Amino acid sequence: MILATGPVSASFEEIKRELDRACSYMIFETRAGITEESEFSAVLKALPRLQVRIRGWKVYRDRVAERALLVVKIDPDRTDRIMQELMSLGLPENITCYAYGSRPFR
Amino acid sequence: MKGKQVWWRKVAAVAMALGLVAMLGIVSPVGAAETVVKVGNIEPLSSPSASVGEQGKNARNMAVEEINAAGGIKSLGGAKLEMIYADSESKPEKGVAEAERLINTEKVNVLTGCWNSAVTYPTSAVAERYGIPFIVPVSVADKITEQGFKNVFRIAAKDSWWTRDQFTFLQDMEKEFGAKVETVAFVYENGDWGKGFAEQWKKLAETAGYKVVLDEPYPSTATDFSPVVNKIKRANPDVLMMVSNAADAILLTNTLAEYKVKPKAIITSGGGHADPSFLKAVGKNARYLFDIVEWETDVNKPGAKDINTKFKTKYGYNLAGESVDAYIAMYVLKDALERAGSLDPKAIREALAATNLSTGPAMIASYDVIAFDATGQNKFAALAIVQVNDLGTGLERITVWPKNARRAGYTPVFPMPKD
Repeated sequence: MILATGPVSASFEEIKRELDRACSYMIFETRAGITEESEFSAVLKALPRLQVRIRGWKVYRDRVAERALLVVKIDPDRTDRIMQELMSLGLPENITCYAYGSRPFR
Repeated sequence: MKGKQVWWRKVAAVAMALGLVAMLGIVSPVGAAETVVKVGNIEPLSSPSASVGEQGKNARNMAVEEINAAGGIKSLGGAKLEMIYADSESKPEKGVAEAERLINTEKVNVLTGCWNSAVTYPTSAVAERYGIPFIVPVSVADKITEQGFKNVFRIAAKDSWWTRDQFTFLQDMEKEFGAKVETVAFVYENGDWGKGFAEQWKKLAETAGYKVVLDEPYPSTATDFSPVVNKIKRANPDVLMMVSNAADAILLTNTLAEYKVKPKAIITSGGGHADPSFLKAVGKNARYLFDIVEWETDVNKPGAKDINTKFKTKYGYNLAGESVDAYIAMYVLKDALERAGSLDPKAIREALAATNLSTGPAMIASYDVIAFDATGQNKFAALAIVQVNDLGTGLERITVWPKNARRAGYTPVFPMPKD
């Protein structure tokens, strides 16, 4: 399921505040390019190979920081397995990966 | 005259005020000594990995107690290290949340952690985002130092170096003992771990000029290894390399002995071959086997024995790979802080990047220098190889490689005797 494909304007902090606490998320960050396809194509190709149900994804633009962010919503508490798989997939060096979960951020 | 009296009154008032301030402890005569360096440590303190988290915590604490007792960070006026621990529960999202809390709320100067590579990977991104130096004692996934980050510094050898060091060891043995190795056989459990090793072995064998005469994955659940061992016997390799879990390591070793398979060397990959149950179950069938390990208590390095004795007395068990790297990490941090002379994260990061440590308590690993490459990887980190042998007091694991860390007075048995 795709939540949205058109880039939405938001900062990293704004995105984190909007996350659904009942789910887990992978957030991929990179320098903003021309299109979201070129920015996250390696990640989007890898997602179907991960052994986890993807609930949806959305691309954001932080125009101030000139960063693009791909937010992937997944089943809760599956991030350890996904991280292991992502590390072995060898994502491009310019993509940084974060994990956020169902617990409240302190 | 009147002016002079007023001046003296002012001096007296100031002196009294200063005395009062000193008595109340508002200003310390050595104010800088009250500076603390806040070190945030994210470890698996609950969850199935809790025991290794606890080992890492204990090793860090012992090192920090030593550093603080010896006067703290002298270039910061004797600043003490203050340890703040957070539990990752082995969960990436918890590690990330704790990293943000430690940076934003606790205002830590440095982060360390997180043992689980899957936690360290996204957590290191948080440290990089905030520009906080992050020392990774153990997590071994290659990817952790392949993200183009400037604030991540790993002490331990990375994953791919396990196979690299197995081959370097083999080539060093060939040179030292004048025994030529031409053929190798790979036998491994067919999961990600075994297949990952085999993939790297094949590349390394090609580079080294060894002919691969057998490439045999097997299911860990196998209950009869006769077919696998028959294949090994027919292939007749000079060297047999294996990756096994505990039960299959035991069964394979006993079956190899039953079929009298005796290559020049058997080189194993930790895991089942390092399990405490292994030697008990196979006994003399494991004699002369070589196993790769992060650290062994007999490593021949100055201070290692005393530090291990102190640790064991304090916590009731020996240092191991995880705890050694955690201990080392604190001394690497101390060294960097002394050179940085500042709590500015950028200064600490620059000092860490310029680390070139070859003396002191940090040098208890099998290698001789700690320095980081441009990716933040300790470029001199290496594994150790032990040989199983009985020197008259029962079978034990004896460090043989690197040669400068070899147990004093021990000569490795290579090639393995045929009878």
